[in-house]
Amino acid sequence: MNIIKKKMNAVKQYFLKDRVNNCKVGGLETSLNPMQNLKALQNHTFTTKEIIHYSFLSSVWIFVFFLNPAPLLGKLLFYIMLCTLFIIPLTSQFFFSALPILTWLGLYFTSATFNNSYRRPISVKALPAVETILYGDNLSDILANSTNHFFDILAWIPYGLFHFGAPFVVAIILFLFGPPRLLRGYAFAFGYMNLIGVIIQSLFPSASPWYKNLYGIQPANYGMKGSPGGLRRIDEILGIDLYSTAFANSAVIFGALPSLHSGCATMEALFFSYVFPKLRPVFIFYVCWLWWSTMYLTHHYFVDLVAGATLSFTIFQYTKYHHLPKIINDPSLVNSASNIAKKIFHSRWAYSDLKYNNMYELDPLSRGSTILNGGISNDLEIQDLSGLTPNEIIEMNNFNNTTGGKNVASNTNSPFRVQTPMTQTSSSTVPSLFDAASIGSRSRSSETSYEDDVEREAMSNSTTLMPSVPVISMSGHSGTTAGNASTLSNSNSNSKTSISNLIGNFTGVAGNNNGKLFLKKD
Amino acid sequence: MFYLQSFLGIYPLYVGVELGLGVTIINKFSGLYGILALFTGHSLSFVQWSFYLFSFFALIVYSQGLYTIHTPKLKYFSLLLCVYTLDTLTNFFYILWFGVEWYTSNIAAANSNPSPNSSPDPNLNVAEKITKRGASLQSQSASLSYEFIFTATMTLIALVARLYINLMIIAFVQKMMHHSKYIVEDENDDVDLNLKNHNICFKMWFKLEKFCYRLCKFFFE
Repeated sequence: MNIIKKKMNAVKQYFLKDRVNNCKVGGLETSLNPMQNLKALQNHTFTTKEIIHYSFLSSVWIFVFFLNPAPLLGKLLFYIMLCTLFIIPLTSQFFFSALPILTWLGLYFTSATFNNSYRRPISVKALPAVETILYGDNLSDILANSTNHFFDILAWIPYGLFHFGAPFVVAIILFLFGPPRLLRGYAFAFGYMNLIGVIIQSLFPSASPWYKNLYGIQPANYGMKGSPGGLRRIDEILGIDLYSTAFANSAVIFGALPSLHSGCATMEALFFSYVFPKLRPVFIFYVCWLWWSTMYLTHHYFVDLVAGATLSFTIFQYTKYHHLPKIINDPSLVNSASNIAKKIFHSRWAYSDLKYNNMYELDPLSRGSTILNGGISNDLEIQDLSGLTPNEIIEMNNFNNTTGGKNVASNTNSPFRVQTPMTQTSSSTVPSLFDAASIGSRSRSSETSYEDDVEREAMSNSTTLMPSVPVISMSGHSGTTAGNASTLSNSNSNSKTSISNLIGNFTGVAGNNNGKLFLKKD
Repeated sequence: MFYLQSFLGIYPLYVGVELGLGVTIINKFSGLYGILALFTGHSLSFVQWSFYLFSFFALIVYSQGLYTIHTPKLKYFSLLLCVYTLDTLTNFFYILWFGVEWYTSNIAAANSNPSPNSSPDPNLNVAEKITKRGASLQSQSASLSYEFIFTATMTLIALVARLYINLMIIAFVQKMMHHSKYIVEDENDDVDLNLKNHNICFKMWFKLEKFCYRLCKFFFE
């Protein structure tokens, strides 16, 4: 028992060692009081995007309610159970965030019961034709041309094994090692990708390569059973019926386009690449491996894989710029040579604050972003201040010493600790419906209670209405710590003003600069 | 000349370029799998070989572009633009070539022989298990005209998307060209780089970048 306790403590120590004192940003909601969520819902102001989002998902649920052949009472009980899960804070943080995934599952299992008279005609020849025209040949045919037991096993591993467990494993890893709230983005992207995929599959049903191998180009019908394709050989090798019966009774038999195997693998790889950028080649290799095995096992044409991956990439890009918090070692936050940037894995509890991706801040063509020490800085213009007189530099340092420590958090490793509320307002954030703490774009580093959150919400709502304020920043990059970056807020936008005059108007925070001194001005 | 100002009229141009490059890279993996035909004994024609090899080369160029989209370099994106434009032009040719080949081998053959592949695999027992789910099984399959429209629409979508991405990259490079941040101060920095000490690939790459940059400069300035 002692050994287990020691191991548990070691794991706990590993994850919590970088945690900032009294910081709840990485914590979970433990309340069971539904009033908390109801109050948050009452205070929530819906944006246009949210209205579209919830209207779309609601319409799918209404569609599922009327078309699913389950007993009416059973359906009502299921919907009541879902609403209950959504309204209790402890469960809503998981289930409400997973709403797109739940919607996809609801539609997927209902789609198997659609009346044949409502179904669209099955395409048999279009996909191989498109593949030949766009990619020069039927690539899936090329790869399934010669088979052997070694390749069978090699293809089975990602397609038949990893694919089904990977979404859960990825979710757990993202939860532990990604920034807080990343999992919500993953649930959003993963759910929408599959949901849109199933809708396309239902609207444009298409036969897989195994169909052509079995039936040639003869017309297909919905009375046909599915086939395990190349996975039949795995059943033969293992001597068990692992896939033959399961695929024969598959819910979606003619759902070749788009490949959700490809979509899921791509989405997992994209999220992993986002959180662990240094391991990107490994994830790309995994997607390539799965693509090969999908074609080798005659389950999809190459064009299906491309469609699935394109769908994933498109939704990921949208999610990245609208929902995902920046990782702790994002190039725009830390110097590429710092210890934080070098480290691959960071626990979610290492985050003391969240900063979201803002596509307008990151725009390389805007006048507000510049390459700086391998990272991106949001300067309007950079000037080398090495030519300043000693008195001016001393004056700046004095100012730094008197004001610099105010907003600095206790964790010296955190690149988020020097961000001021002013810079936070420029970032887009993704408030959840039941998430009073994330409304606006303010910092979550110092949040203490639900009541405080509601109060802050009102404040952040008011700050987001403020016109953008010019920001003057001094950035120093020592190469070892990220805490050198500092921001000075200025209400004077005259770029010709002298440094000394500008300092007199500063209302924000300054940090020390060990390296070259730069001035950012608006 | 008309240049796009934004992606879909809403998003910054680089978001569209990023998305477009990502989608193109996904497509360019076809080169990798086409080359794998070497190991499966499938014979490829010269046109197919050239298509797959060029796809593989383009995959490398676009990947580097996607990787540096937030910190772009004008010379590299000039090269990328030239490669992408060449890719678009050759893609029209390839689609035409492969389309004609597909037509002659499938449609023409189907006309001469109405049911060339109508007999199912004799070893298959799945066909025996067919159970009727609809009244008219024949109506559940797509007609020839539906298949043709489906094929033509998908091909057309691919072409239009490619053209749009190309226009976005053109606009992106054009804007970089006129942006003070991306000014190339010394075009003839061969001496600074001391090209003599680098290998032939680096020299060729460097010269290609410079050529593409001058070409873009000629058109955009």
